[in-house]
Amino acid sequence: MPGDRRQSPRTKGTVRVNPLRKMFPLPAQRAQAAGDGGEVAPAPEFLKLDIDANHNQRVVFQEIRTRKRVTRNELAAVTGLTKPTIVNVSRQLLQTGLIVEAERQTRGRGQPAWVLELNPDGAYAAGLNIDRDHLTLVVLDLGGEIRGRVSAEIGFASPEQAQSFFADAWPKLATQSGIRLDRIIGLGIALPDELGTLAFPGKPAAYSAWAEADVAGLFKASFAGPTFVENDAVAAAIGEAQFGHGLEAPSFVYILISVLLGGGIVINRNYFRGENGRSGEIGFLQVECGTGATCTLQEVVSIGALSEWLKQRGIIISGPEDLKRLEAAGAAAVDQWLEVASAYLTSIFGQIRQFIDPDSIMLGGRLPEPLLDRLAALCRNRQEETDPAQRSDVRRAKLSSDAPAIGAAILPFQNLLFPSLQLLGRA
Amino acid sequence: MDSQPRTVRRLKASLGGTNLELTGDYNQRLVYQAIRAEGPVTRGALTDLTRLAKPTIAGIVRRMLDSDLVVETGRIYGGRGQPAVHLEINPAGCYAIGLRTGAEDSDAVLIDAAGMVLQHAAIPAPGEPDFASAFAAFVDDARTASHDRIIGLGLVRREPAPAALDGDEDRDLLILSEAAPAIPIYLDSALGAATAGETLFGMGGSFKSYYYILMGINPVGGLVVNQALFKGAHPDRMRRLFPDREPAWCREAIAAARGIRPGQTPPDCSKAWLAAACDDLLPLLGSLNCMLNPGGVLMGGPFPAQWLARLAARCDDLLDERAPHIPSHAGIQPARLGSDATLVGAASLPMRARLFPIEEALLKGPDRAG
Repeated sequence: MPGDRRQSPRTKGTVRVNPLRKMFPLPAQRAQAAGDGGEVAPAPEFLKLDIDANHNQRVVFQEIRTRKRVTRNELAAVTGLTKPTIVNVSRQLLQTGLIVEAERQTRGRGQPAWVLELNPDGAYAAGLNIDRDHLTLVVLDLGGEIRGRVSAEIGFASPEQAQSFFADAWPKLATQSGIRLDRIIGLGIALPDELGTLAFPGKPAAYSAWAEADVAGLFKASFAGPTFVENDAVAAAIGEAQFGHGLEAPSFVYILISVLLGGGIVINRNYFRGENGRSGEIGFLQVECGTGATCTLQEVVSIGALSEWLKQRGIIISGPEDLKRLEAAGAAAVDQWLEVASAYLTSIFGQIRQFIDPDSIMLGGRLPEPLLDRLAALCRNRQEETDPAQRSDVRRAKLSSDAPAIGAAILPFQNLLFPSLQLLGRA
Repeated sequence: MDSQPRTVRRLKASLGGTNLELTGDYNQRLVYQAIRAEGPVTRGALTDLTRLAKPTIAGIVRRMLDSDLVVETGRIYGGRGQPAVHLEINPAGCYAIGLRTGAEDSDAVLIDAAGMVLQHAAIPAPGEPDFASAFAAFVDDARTASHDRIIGLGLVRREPAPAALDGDEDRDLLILSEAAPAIPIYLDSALGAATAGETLFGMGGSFKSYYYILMGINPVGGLVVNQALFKGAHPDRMRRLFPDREPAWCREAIAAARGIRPGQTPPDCSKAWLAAACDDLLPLLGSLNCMLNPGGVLMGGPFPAQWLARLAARCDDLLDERAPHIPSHAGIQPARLGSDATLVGAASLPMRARLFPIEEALLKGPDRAG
């Protein structure tokens, strides 16, 4: 009887709340709850529409973002969600302006289907990289394009200097990129661990102020939205996972070649931190150097090791920027070093395959991109004679220059818009 | 006009959506696992453990009591009001069969919901003519012993699969499903089974992540993150710790374990054995600490239990000395399901798939639209 339906026990007007939402309050919900007490800034107005709270919205948005152009039917097929759910969720997403409806797909018979597309200008995020030799601020759009960049090569910038750099740079971003600052949904900050405490050549005593600094609170005067702080190598790897090669290679080992050698492990697009946040310490792996002697990998593969190599050959560089301006003799010495470095690197690939077996090994960091490309090519060549089962896919990370700053900018996107099992209640 | 529909494939490792039905099922798994891990436990404590609402817990617990998956044990007196009731999982609530097939023989076990082995039989290898009848007899006994509450059969096959059997690789599956009709079969590698067993019935559940070393003629190892073995880019490839050799100390330990008669205490391992094993393992342990920073390192497999314990303790002592440079050092211990790791692990595969809060239970697959 058709009337039976209306008498179903579900009373009209009651809303069935997704139990997961109650069960695992999402960080965004917690932040908003705290915001009632005037503590934490609420999410920007145009995002109020729950996008920060619903796994299915995040999943659908992720599919639209990564596939570029997709119909609702295709979305239903890839997410496993029903067509009505997709229709609902895509309407909500359209209202937020994060996606747009592009022209119709006139293929096949019947009513042409609407194609959904990411709106790169739907939201922006800012990323700040604080390091011993520079400060860099970038703003990214949802498509991962850098829309504005302000950088300063300041050695050992104090928290106050960082603050004033940020205050100056922030309005510049708006003029540079023409974007609306109020559509920046969050700020990510990437900085090395133990910035204030770790002994480092040339570190002034005042630099230890970073050990006590409230990093997330430093820039509140210029930007009051949600702020996320992360280790620089982790930020770089997360950026790669969401906007770089991570879309094809969901599990990878990121090798960050900077003054020292760091690394990060991404498993199914989630950063794997390890028990104490010390995973990916590839720089400490033992390698054979010389006859019978062993040393750690970062003693032979790092920008520090390269400048030492060049110094022994009478060439002095003061930073990675100088590598782009070398004369013939210098360039030849760098080539020799790349050969040597590729041998050391490939010698640990076996262990990487054994312990993790990632889809890919990515090289990034402050070594200039052409050098990273050559290093990756040399590593591939070295593996050519071996059995295909004993080879690793090696490539330069897509976001290699400015990777920590870009990765930092991706943190707000990841926390507020992208799906993750952590947000569903794991961990 | 091009009338071919575009093919849509899910991106590798992308997340699916979820719905009420799935979250409901997931919540039951969550509660059951909390009772397993923490029991005896009160409903109030379950609310704190799972962060589910009280009525949700009450509903789930009622259904589990009705289906005999959990039982009420004691009451806590003392406080005011109605005394709280303690819940525990019912060992007789469900059962699973584990089968490990080998080149010469196979082993089958029946375990209860608490992971206790109730029945253990050596049966012929799948190639032998008696395999089917011997397995069918085992299943019949198991059905009787379990009052027909078997939820699945976990199978670990010989690795690597012998090349000669390539053509009829799945014939043994057919035989199994005929011998045990209506019992779903769950297939995994030895390492997958051992880590599943350790997570459900051993120490695995207490780690956010751990590295598991499964000893054998050729030891293999893998990283377990959030209670799931990460199988990497090539899930079918064996993750051998020593890809190009079979260490003599492994053979020696396996031979020693085989020689142990029931009730007899096995000989202790020799100093030379311990030294040889440590020399091989320590460089790997140093590297894996650098690379993975796991919460722990567990060693299991068919070695005598005391040997494994001695080896784990010795490696743990020597690691700081041999690899002073490593930034972190995870404790090395023998796995709780030591020598039975693979077999009990095989039996725990159905339990994991059907009762444990795994990600697959929460997310829709692209092929499960609806």
